[in-house]
Amino acid sequence: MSNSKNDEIGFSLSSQSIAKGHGQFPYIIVRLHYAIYLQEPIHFHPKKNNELIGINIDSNFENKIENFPKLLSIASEYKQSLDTKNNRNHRLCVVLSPNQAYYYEENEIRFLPSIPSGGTLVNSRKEIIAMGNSHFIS
Amino acid sequence: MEKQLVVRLKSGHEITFVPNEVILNNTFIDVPSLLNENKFPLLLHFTHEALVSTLNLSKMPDCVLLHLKDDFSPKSATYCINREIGDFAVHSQCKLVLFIPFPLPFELKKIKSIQLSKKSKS
Repeated sequence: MSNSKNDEIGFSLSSQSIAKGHGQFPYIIVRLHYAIYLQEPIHFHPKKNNELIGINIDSNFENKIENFPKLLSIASEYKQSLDTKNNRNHRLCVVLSPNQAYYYEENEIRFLPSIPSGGTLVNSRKEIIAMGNSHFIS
Repeated sequence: MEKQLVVRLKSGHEITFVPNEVILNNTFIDVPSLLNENKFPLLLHFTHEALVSTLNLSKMPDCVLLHLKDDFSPKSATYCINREIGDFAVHSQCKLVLFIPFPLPFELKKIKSIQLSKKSKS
Protein backbone atom coordinates (compact mmCIF):
# COMPACT_ATOMS: atom_id res chain seq x y z
CA MET A 1 0.00 0.00 0.00
CA SER A 2 2.91 2.35 0.58
CA ASN A 3 5.37 3.55 -2.01
CA SER A 4 6.12 6.89 -0.35
CA LYS A 5 9.36 7.91 1.29
CA ASN A 6 10.12 6.39 4.67
CA ASP A 7 7.22 4.48 6.17
CA GLU A 8 4.49 7.02 5.54
CA ILE A 9 1.04 5.60 4.93
CA GLY A 10 -0.35 6.17 1.47
CA PHE A 11 0.96 6.52 -2.05
CA SER A 12 1.41 9.22 -4.67
CA LEU A 13 0.06 9.48 -8.20
CA SER A 14 1.45 6.75 -10.45
CA SER A 15 3.13 7.43 -13.78
CA GLN A 16 0.10 5.81 -15.48
CA SER A 17 -2.29 8.27 -13.82
CA ILE A 18 -0.01 11.18 -14.68
CA ALA A 19 0.15 10.04 -18.31
CA LYS A 20 -3.65 10.20 -18.37
CA GLY A 21 -3.55 13.83 -17.22
CA HIS A 22 -3.88 13.56 -13.46
CA GLY A 23 -1.81 15.76 -11.17
CA GLN A 24 -1.44 18.64 -13.60
CA PHE A 25 -3.07 22.05 -13.25
CA PRO A 26 -5.81 22.97 -13.82
CA TYR A 27 -8.16 20.37 -12.40
CA ILE A 28 -11.45 20.06 -10.55
CA ILE A 29 -11.70 18.39 -7.15
CA VAL A 30 -15.10 17.04 -6.08
CA ARG A 31 -15.60 16.13 -2.42
CA LEU A 32 -17.37 12.76 -2.58
CA HIS A 33 -17.25 12.00 1.12
CA TYR A 34 -15.18 12.94 4.15
CA ALA A 35 -11.54 12.82 2.93
CA ILE A 36 -12.51 11.20 -0.37
CA TYR A 37 -11.97 13.35 -3.43
CA LEU A 38 -12.52 12.92 -7.15
CA GLN A 39 -10.01 14.58 -9.46
CA GLU A 40 -11.19 15.64 -12.89
CA PRO A 41 -8.31 17.03 -14.99
CA ILE A 42 -9.07 19.76 -17.52
CA HIS A 43 -7.32 19.47 -20.88
CA PHE A 44 -7.10 22.11 -23.59
CA HIS A 45 -6.02 20.91 -27.02
CA PRO A 46 -6.80 21.38 -30.70
CA LYS A 47 -7.53 17.69 -31.28
CA LYS A 48 -9.25 15.20 -29.04
CA ASN A 49 -6.82 12.91 -27.24
CA ASN A 50 -8.55 9.70 -26.17
CA GLU A 51 -5.70 8.75 -23.84
CA LEU A 52 -6.45 11.63 -21.49
CA ILE A 53 -9.03 11.25 -18.73
CA GLY A 54 -11.11 14.25 -17.71
CA ILE A 55 -12.74 17.29 -19.28
CA ASN A 56 -11.53 17.93 -22.82
CA ILE A 57 -11.88 21.43 -24.22
CA ASP A 58 -11.14 22.36 -27.82
CA SER A 59 -8.60 25.16 -27.98
CA ASN A 60 -6.02 26.44 -30.41
CA PHE A 61 -4.12 28.49 -27.83
CA GLU A 62 -0.57 27.22 -27.58
CA ASN A 63 -0.05 28.89 -24.22
CA LYS A 64 -2.08 26.95 -21.65
CA ILE A 65 -2.60 30.01 -19.45
CA GLU A 66 -4.55 31.74 -22.19
CA ASN A 67 -7.27 29.16 -21.61
CA PHE A 68 -7.58 29.82 -17.89
CA PRO A 69 -10.25 32.56 -18.19
CA LYS A 70 -12.62 29.79 -19.34
CA LEU A 71 -12.16 27.76 -16.16
CA LEU A 72 -14.98 29.22 -14.09
CA SER A 73 -17.52 28.56 -16.84
CA ILE A 74 -16.15 25.05 -17.37
CA ALA A 75 -16.34 24.23 -13.66
CA SER A 76 -19.84 25.69 -13.39
CA GLU A 77 -21.12 23.59 -16.30
CA TYR A 78 -19.46 20.51 -14.85
CA LYS A 79 -21.04 21.12 -11.43
CA GLN A 80 -24.46 21.69 -12.94
CA SER A 81 -24.29 18.46 -14.91
CA LEU A 82 -23.03 16.52 -11.86
CA ASP A 83 -25.72 17.99 -9.58
CA THR A 84 -28.42 17.13 -12.13
CA LYS A 85 -27.07 13.63 -12.72
CA ASN A 86 -26.89 12.75 -9.02
CA ASN A 87 -29.79 14.97 -7.92
CA ARG A 88 -27.79 16.63 -5.15
CA ASN A 89 -25.51 19.56 -4.53
CA HIS A 90 -21.80 18.75 -4.88
CA ARG A 91 -18.97 20.56 -3.12
CA LEU A 92 -16.15 21.13 -5.53
CA CYS A 93 -13.39 23.50 -6.46
CA VAL A 94 -11.34 24.35 -9.49
CA VAL A 95 -7.62 24.32 -8.71
CA LEU A 96 -5.27 26.56 -10.71
CA SER A 97 -1.97 26.22 -8.85
CA PRO A 98 -0.55 24.99 -5.52
CA ASN A 99 -1.92 28.10 -3.81
CA GLN A 100 -4.96 29.04 -5.84
CA ALA A 101 -8.40 27.43 -5.78
CA TYR A 102 -11.96 28.64 -6.31
CA TYR A 103 -14.48 26.78 -4.13
CA TYR A 104 -18.13 26.41 -5.05
CA GLU A 105 -20.11 26.98 -1.89
CA GLU A 106 -23.85 27.33 -1.34
CA ASN A 107 -24.48 30.63 -3.10
CA GLU A 108 -21.04 31.79 -4.07
CA ILE A 109 -17.63 30.93 -5.42
CA ARG A 110 -14.88 31.64 -2.91
CA PHE A 111 -11.18 32.12 -3.61
CA LEU A 112 -8.79 30.53 -1.15
CA PRO A 113 -4.99 30.42 -1.26
CA SER A 114 -5.03 26.81 -0.07
CA ILE A 115 -6.02 23.75 -2.08
CA PRO A 116 -7.36 20.30 -1.15
CA SER A 117 -4.66 17.80 -0.28
CA GLY A 118 -4.32 14.31 1.13
CA GLY A 119 -7.19 11.95 1.76
CA THR A 120 -8.14 9.38 -0.84
CA LEU A 121 -8.02 10.60 -4.42
CA VAL A 122 -10.05 8.78 -7.07
CA ASN A 123 -10.49 9.24 -10.82
CA SER A 124 -13.80 9.49 -12.66
CA ARG A 125 -13.98 5.67 -12.76
CA LYS A 126 -13.81 5.72 -8.95
CA GLU A 127 -10.43 4.00 -9.02
CA ILE A 128 -8.07 5.07 -6.22
CA ILE A 129 -5.15 6.97 -7.74
CA ALA A 130 -3.47 8.46 -4.64
CA MET A 131 -3.77 8.34 -0.89
CA GLY A 132 -2.42 10.64 1.81
CA ASN A 133 -0.44 12.68 -0.71
CA SER A 134 -0.67 15.90 -2.63
CA HIS A 135 -3.02 15.93 -5.61
CA PHE A 136 -0.51 17.41 -8.04
CA ILE A 137 2.94 16.67 -9.37
CA SER A 138 5.66 19.21 -8.68
CA MET B 1 -16.70 41.18 11.07
CA GLU B 2 -14.95 39.81 8.02
CA LYS B 3 -14.48 42.15 5.07
CA GLN B 4 -15.33 40.46 1.78
CA LEU B 5 -15.11 41.70 -1.77
CA VAL B 6 -17.73 40.20 -4.04
CA VAL B 7 -16.86 40.23 -7.74
CA ARG B 8 -19.98 39.88 -9.86
CA LEU B 9 -19.50 38.68 -13.42
CA LYS B 10 -21.78 39.32 -16.38
CA SER B 11 -22.41 35.56 -16.46
CA GLY B 12 -24.10 35.81 -13.05
CA HIS B 13 -21.27 34.19 -11.11
CA GLU B 14 -20.27 35.79 -7.84
CA ILE B 15 -16.73 35.31 -6.57
CA THR B 16 -15.87 36.17 -2.99
CA PHE B 17 -12.41 37.30 -1.99
CA VAL B 18 -11.57 37.73 1.69
CA PRO B 19 -8.65 40.13 1.47
CA ASN B 20 -5.82 40.70 3.89
CA GLU B 21 -6.14 44.45 4.23
CA VAL B 22 -3.12 46.64 4.89
CA ILE B 23 -3.72 50.31 5.69
CA LEU B 24 -0.85 52.54 4.57
CA ASN B 25 -0.01 56.19 4.82
CA ASN B 26 3.12 56.00 2.64
CA THR B 27 3.16 56.88 -1.04
CA PHE B 28 5.93 54.38 -1.90
CA ILE B 29 5.22 50.77 -1.07
CA ASP B 30 7.43 47.73 -1.47
CA VAL B 31 4.66 45.21 -2.11
CA PRO B 32 6.79 41.99 -2.07
CA SER B 33 7.81 42.68 1.53
CA LEU B 34 4.14 43.09 2.49
CA LEU B 35 3.47 39.67 0.98
CA ASN B 36 5.85 38.10 3.47
CA GLU B 37 3.27 38.70 6.18
CA ASN B 38 0.06 38.88 4.16
CA LYS B 39 -1.11 36.28 1.68
CA PHE B 40 -3.15 36.85 -1.45
CA PRO B 41 -5.70 38.29 -1.86
CA LEU B 42 -4.06 41.46 -0.62
CA LEU B 43 -5.91 44.77 -0.32
CA LEU B 44 -3.84 47.93 0.00
CA HIS B 45 -5.75 50.84 1.48
CA PHE B 46 -3.99 54.19 1.16
CA THR B 47 -4.85 56.96 3.58
CA HIS B 48 -2.40 59.62 2.36
CA GLU B 49 -3.52 62.75 0.53
CA ALA B 50 -1.14 62.44 -2.44
CA LEU B 51 -2.54 61.95 -5.94
CA VAL B 52 -0.64 58.76 -6.71
CA SER B 53 1.00 55.85 -4.90
CA THR B 54 4.07 54.10 -6.25
CA LEU B 55 4.00 50.32 -5.95
CA ASN B 56 7.26 48.44 -6.28
CA LEU B 57 6.40 45.08 -7.84
CA SER B 58 9.90 43.71 -8.46
CA LYS B 59 10.16 39.98 -7.80
CA MET B 60 6.45 39.73 -7.07
CA PRO B 61 4.64 36.47 -7.73
CA ASP B 62 2.46 36.76 -10.83
CA CYS B 63 -0.75 38.59 -9.98
CA VAL B 64 -3.44 40.97 -11.16
CA LEU B 65 -3.93 44.38 -9.57
CA LEU B 66 -7.46 45.72 -9.50
CA HIS B 67 -7.45 49.47 -8.88
CA LEU B 68 -10.71 50.25 -7.06
CA LYS B 69 -12.62 53.47 -6.50
CA ASP B 70 -13.61 54.49 -2.97
CA ASP B 71 -16.88 52.53 -3.29
CA PHE B 72 -14.84 49.46 -4.40
CA SER B 73 -16.09 49.61 -7.98
CA PRO B 74 -13.31 48.76 -10.47
CA LYS B 75 -11.45 51.56 -12.24
CA SER B 76 -8.58 49.78 -13.98
CA ALA B 77 -6.31 46.75 -13.80
CA THR B 78 -2.64 45.85 -14.12
CA TYR B 79 -1.12 42.47 -14.96
CA CYS B 80 2.03 41.91 -12.95
CA ILE B 81 3.88 39.07 -14.66
CA ASN B 82 7.57 38.94 -13.88
CA ARG B 83 9.37 37.05 -16.60
CA GLU B 84 12.63 39.02 -16.60
CA ILE B 85 15.05 40.11 -13.92
CA GLY B 86 14.74 43.82 -13.27
CA ASP B 87 12.88 46.45 -11.32
CA PHE B 88 9.24 47.00 -11.99
CA ALA B 89 6.89 49.56 -10.43
CA VAL B 90 3.50 51.07 -11.20
CA HIS B 91 1.67 54.19 -10.12
CA SER B 92 -1.89 53.97 -8.91
CA GLN B 93 -4.33 56.83 -8.52
CA CYS B 94 -6.71 54.72 -6.47
CA LYS B 95 -6.78 54.52 -2.70
CA LEU B 96 -7.72 50.85 -2.87
CA VAL B 97 -5.74 48.23 -4.79
CA LEU B 98 -6.64 44.55 -4.69
CA PHE B 99 -3.99 41.95 -5.58
CA ILE B 100 -5.23 38.57 -6.84
CA PRO B 101 -2.92 35.77 -7.99
CA PHE B 102 -2.54 35.27 -11.74
CA PRO B 103 -3.91 33.48 -13.72
CA LEU B 104 -7.57 34.24 -13.17
CA PRO B 105 -10.32 31.74 -14.04
CA PHE B 106 -12.41 34.50 -15.63
CA GLU B 107 -11.94 37.43 -18.00
CA LEU B 108 -11.45 40.87 -16.48
CA LYS B 109 -13.76 42.40 -19.09
CA LYS B 110 -16.56 40.15 -17.78
CA ILE B 111 -16.56 41.89 -14.37
CA LYS B 112 -19.89 43.61 -13.85
CA SER B 113 -19.28 45.04 -10.39
CA ILE B 114 -17.23 44.70 -7.22
CA GLN B 115 -18.91 45.34 -3.90
CA LEU B 116 -17.92 45.29 -0.27
CA SER B 117 -19.74 42.89 1.99
CA LYS B 118 -19.23 42.30 5.70
CA LYS B 119 -20.05 38.99 7.30
CA SER B 120 -19.60 37.57 10.77
CA LYS B 121 -16.64 35.21 10.98
CA SER B 122 -17.84 31.60 11.13
